[in-house]
Amino acid sequence: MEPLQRPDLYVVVRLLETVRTSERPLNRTQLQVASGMNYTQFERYLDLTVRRGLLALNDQGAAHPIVVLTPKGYDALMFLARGLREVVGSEFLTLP
Amino acid sequence: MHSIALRVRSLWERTTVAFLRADGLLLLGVGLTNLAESSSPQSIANPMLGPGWFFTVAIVAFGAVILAVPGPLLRRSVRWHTRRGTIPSLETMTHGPSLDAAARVIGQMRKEWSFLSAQLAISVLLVVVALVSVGTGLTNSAPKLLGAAGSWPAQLWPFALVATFLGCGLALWGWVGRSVRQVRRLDPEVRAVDARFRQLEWTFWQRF
Repeated sequence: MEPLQRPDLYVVVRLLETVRTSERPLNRTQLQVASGMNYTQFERYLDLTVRRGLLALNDQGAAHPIVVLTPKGYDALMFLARGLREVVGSEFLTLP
Repeated sequence: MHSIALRVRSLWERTTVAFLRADGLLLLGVGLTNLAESSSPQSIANPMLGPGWFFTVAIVAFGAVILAVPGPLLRRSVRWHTRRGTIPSLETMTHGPSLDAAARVIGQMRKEWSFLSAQLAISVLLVVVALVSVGTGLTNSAPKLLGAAGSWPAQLWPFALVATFLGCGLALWGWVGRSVRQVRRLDPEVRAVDARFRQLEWTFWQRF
């Protein structure tokens, strides 16, 4: 799988936000469906966010590991929510 | 933010269609005028646009095709550019901030407009030549026309044709001009937001 040349910040936000707002724990497939991405793109972005420590795979021996938001990922999401609000000049994400 | 990308794309589509329609109409007008002019008695004395029927028919056909195809042509062009990644998909624009997307659309728009503008300029030139040709023909035969009032409608129909298509051409020209002005106004806005977004992007990847 080719690494992302220039990751789209919005897609990162969408991925992190989907994990944060989900009412139940999501595995990879469920997260892919919930975030509305195609498989290839999803795998690339998941790989990127896991490598950067924004998301983690909580396998605990399970066949389908659960994707969780790390504290660093939460900080990143808040940073982006504030930053995008400043850039766009309107509310982009609902801040917790 | 995504609305900027969508606004840019919608303007791009509308203006490209306007360009193509104006171009097609002008070419059609030139072709028909040439046809009228070359079939009139004056053309024998004043063959300014007389490279033959083939040229005339080719211009009319080309104008008709350009006039008829802007919609499908544009849709094909958008699909092609989207596949190549030159312009972002509607999905990206609708779901994402996609300022980079807006900037890419503007870049593509500029490239296509310079080509379309050149085409339009050639069409306008052809219109001028056709007008001069018909005008000269009518002026040369003015004394004869004045002496034979009964033949006026038959003699003046090429002139009426020119006036009609010129009027339509000018109306379309105004439409194209308005779209171009709208894009020019939008361009700095997109650039400013894009610069701020790039700054945010850079800071984010440095920090996280």
